[in-house]
Amino acid sequence: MNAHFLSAHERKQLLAELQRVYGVDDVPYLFLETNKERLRAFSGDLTREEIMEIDEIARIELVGTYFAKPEYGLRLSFDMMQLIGKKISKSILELTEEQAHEWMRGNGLALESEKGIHVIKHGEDFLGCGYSDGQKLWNFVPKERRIRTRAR
Amino acid sequence: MPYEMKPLFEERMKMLMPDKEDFDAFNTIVHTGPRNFIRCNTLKMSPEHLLKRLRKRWNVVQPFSGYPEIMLVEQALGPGELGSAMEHLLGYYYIQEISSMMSALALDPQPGELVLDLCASPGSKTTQIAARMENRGTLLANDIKLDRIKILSANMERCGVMNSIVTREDAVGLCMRLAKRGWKFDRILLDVPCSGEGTLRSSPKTFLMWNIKVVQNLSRQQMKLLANALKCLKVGGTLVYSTCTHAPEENEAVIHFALERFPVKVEHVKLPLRCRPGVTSWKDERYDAAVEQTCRIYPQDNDTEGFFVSRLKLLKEIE
Repeated sequence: MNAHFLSAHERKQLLAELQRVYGVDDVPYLFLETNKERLRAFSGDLTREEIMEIDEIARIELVGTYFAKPEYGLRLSFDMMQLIGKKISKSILELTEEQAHEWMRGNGLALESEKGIHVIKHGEDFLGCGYSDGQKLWNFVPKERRIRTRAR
Repeated sequence: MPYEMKPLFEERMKMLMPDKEDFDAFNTIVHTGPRNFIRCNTLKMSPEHLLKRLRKRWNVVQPFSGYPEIMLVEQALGPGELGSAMEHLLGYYYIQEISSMMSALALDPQPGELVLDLCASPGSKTTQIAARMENRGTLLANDIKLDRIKILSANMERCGVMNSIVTREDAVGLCMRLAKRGWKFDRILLDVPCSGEGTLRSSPKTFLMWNIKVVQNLSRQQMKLLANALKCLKVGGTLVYSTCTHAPEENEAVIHFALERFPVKVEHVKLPLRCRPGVTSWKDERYDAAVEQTCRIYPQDNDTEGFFVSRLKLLKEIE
């Protein structure tokens, strides 16, 4: 398995960052860090020992889902945003419809906002994270999830 | 020019559908494209909410009471229109043919259970199982090839599946090792590689690719897969064996093989599509009468693709 489970100390640091950046304090998942420095979250009820036993039996490709990347503090993944979006209380940046379509095409936005990570939202949809340098919002929408043709 | 059935395939289908009108209906419908079914991904959005959103754009209905997550877009769509919609990009729904949804419905996985999906890619049934498990319990999803694993994992990520472990193994070897270490699952989905006779509507090239030797070879592999999968099932646990083919060698013959060798019983499956009972004889073969409890889904009965679903229960420990 190309990942290791977070130690109790690492987990504590992660949860503290999650609280600081997003105001989220209830994520009862098992966390792993992959060799690509990506954090993954597992909501299943196997213990880490049981997962390690499966790892002895089979080639484990993935455990759980992509949770976040430890950059700009903590950058939540596009899909995790939709799963825990309702728990997020900080750093939310609402876009207009026009901005949201531009965003989902994978483009950055010339938008003045507080420097740092923002949770991008349009209506009820969470559209991933963006990083603002104060003047521009940098886009992290995964390529395969971008609108390629006419916007809907 | 439309593809035509190979003579031997046509002869076999006529044996399965001796009534001329029935066969003609089959022969007509397999030359039409499939309908646009989608499945609401309840891990991210409720069916009511999704329906409300989609109805602003398309004519969407929920054709089956008791299954609000199953939706049908009843209008002509442009190429890729379902896949490029915002709701699809955000993982609110999965594009899945209705007959392929039947495996997970028959499996009926519950939150908190330990579930094994042995031939998981591309992930339509895996994501459906995870949704029914509400991301609780553990879902071990396996496939053999890395390129298929990539498709599987992309679909699982899009749908927000978090309770899963994805492995890349030959399913027979994986089952042998799991059984040796004492791993037992509450439910197992064995949706095996098959000759694909049921997919003529969405994949007309199957008309050309069909070959009786492939059917015979697959049948042997499928029996081996089922024999090993059963060894990983808890006593009282459920295994669903499904294919997207009509060939009895890949369906009832495989179930008959399991009934002969293992302490299993075939359970009747109640599904929201019209099912015909499994055939108890085919050419010179006679199958256990219990295979009648299995479910044959024919395209002309429901305006769907063709499919086969069976549910087995393990009655006692396999020695």
